[in-house]
Amino acid sequence: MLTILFNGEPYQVRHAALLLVLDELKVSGVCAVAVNGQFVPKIEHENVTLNDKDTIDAFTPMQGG
Amino acid sequence: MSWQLADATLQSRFLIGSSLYPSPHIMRQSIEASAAEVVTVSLRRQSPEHKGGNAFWQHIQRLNCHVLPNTAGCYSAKQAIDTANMAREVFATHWIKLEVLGDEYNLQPDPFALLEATKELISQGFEVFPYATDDLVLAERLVTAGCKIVMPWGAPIGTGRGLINPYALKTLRARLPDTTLIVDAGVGAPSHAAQAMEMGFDGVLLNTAVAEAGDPVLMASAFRDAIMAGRSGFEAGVIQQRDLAKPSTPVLGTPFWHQEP
Repeated sequence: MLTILFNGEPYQVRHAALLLVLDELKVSGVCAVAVNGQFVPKIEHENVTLNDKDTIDAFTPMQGG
Repeated sequence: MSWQLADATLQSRFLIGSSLYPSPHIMRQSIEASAAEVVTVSLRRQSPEHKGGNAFWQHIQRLNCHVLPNTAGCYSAKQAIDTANMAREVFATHWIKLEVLGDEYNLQPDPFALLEATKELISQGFEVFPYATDDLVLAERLVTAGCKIVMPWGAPIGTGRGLINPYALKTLRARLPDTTLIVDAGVGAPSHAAQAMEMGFDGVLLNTAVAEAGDPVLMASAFRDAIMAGRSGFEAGVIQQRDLAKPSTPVLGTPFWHQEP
């Protein structure tokens, strides 16, 4: 089990592969993902392995001016 | 009459924001009333489980407009570059309204970080719409860096003060005749937008003035009409101001034209 910080909240996840963790966290639809503050393009999701205490942020479309 | 904004051919010169509306329904009605073909959007950290972002995105997609993502809230070139890359993936566009703020009080752009981010994003293939002040040298540097478009502020974001430095804006227009110039931010009333268009600006981007109006839908149509009127006025050629009065009715031949007053 890893403890990661997802959108500012702590979560226990079973996997280390980013793609599987996103699935575990039910991250789907239109969004961009950053790991430890660094944007990870979708095509690279399968190549990223997470470590304990890593942070994941998911960004979705919002109103803007 | 159509015009070219980057790689898009548009009819409307009104670019509108999608924020601050009382409801998604009023947002949609307002954008439709504006006849705008470009809508600004943003990215925010949000729990995907709530699907809020996806619901908003579906509203925007139904409008069938060009989407212009922004980098609002960024205070460094790195933050803005990262946000732009995320926006490109999420919104599937290489357009980016580049905001790099330097002051929390009046949300004034940081010209140095803005230029730094602009250079990097252009090298990455973005079409950069930089949100800038009305500083001529900054605008020239942005153009030299490869910007086809520069978006000087009329006034600080959300103030509704209109064009606080018409001299600087006129100077920008005169010195950058081949650059697409869009007044962005600070516009409060339709007359402000008309004034910008009469100066020869290519478009106006605004949000708060519509979204926070008493009747956003009606205000959107008022801005639509003002921007069209201002543009027509510019194209028609506004007369020069004079110090002395000049009669509009010919004097010669009027009943008493030859008599002393």
